[in-house]
Amino acid sequence: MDKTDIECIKAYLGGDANALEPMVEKYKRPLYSFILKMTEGREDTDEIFQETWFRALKNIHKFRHKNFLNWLFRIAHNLVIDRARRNKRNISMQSAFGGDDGDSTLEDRLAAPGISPAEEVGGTSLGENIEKAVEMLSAEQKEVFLLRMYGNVSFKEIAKIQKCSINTCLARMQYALGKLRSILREEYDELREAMP
Amino acid sequence: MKCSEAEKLVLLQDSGELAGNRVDILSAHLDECKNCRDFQQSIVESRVTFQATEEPGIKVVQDVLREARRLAPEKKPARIFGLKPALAMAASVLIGLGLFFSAFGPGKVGMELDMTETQLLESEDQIVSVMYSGLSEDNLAFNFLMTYEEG
Repeated sequence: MDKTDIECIKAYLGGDANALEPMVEKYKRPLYSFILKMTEGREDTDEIFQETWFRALKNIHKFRHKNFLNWLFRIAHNLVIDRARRNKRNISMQSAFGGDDGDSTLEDRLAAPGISPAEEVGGTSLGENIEKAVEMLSAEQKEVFLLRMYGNVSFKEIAKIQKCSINTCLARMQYALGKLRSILREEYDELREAMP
Repeated sequence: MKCSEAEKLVLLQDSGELAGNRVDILSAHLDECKNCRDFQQSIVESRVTFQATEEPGIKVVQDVLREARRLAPEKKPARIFGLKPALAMAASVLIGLGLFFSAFGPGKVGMELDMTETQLLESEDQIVSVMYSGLSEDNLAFNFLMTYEEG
C-alpha cells in the first residue's frame, strides 16, 4: 500500500468522512473490470462492487495488508464465490476455484444474464474477440490473469487468494497467456507492429 | 534450463518477484531463446490489450461514498480537553511553589540578612558620626593622646 492510501485511511478513521473518496476513484476501474470479467453482467458486477466496498468500509479499522487494492480483490474474490453459491448452480464454485485447471469456465457455471463488456463498448470486433478469448479460460486461469493485468497483484498474493501454491499460479498464468496469444494472434501481431 | 521453467521466471520477473542469481540465469536463457522472448513480449501485449477500462456508473460510486460517510467514525474531540485537569493541577502546584518561595525562599532570607548588615553598618557609622561630630582634628588628636597616656 502507498503512502497516500495510509494517509487517507488514517484521516477516515480520524473522522474525515470524505477521506476515502480518492481511493474509491483510484481503484474503481481495476476492481470493477475484474468483477465484470469474473461474473458477467452489469447488475451482478454493480452489486458485488458495492458490497466489496461496504465490507472494506466496515472492516477498515482492521486493515493490516500492505496493499489496499489486493485487499479489495480478495474481498471481491470471496463475494464472487458467495454469489455463485447463492445462485445455486449445479457445480460447486469451491471446487472450481480450488480444483484442477479444467476447461470449464466460470461463465459456464454462472451464466449470469446481462450485457457483455464487448456489447457495452459497442460490439467492436476487438472487444468481442477479447471477450471470447477470456471465456476460453478456466475460472482459475482467468482470475490469475486478470489479477495480474488489472491489479498487478503479485503471485505470492494470488496464491493466498486462490489458496494454492505459487507454482500453480504460475502454471495457470502460463496457460492463460499461451491460450490468449493463440486466440488473439492477429490483435497481438497488430500491436507488435505498432509498438516501437 | 527448460523453456517452461524460463517462462515461470519471466512471469516472476514481470511481477517483481525474481531475485538473486535467477535474474542472470533467465537473462542468459532469453539471449538464446526466441520462444521465451516472444512469451515475454506477450505479457506486454496482453497488458495493452487488457486494460482496466470498465468503470461503475455514477450512482454505484455515489452509493459507496454515501456509505463511507455514514460509516465514518466520529471525529475525536481535541486532546486538550482531556488534559484540562492535569493542566489545572500543574498550574496550582506552580502557584503554590511561587508563594512558598516568595515567603520562605533562600533569596528572600539572604536579602533580609543583607539588609540587616547594612542597617548595622549604617548604625555604627551613625554612632561614630555622632561621637565625632563637632570635634576638630586637633581635639581628636588630644583625646587620642590622653587615652594613650591613661592606658
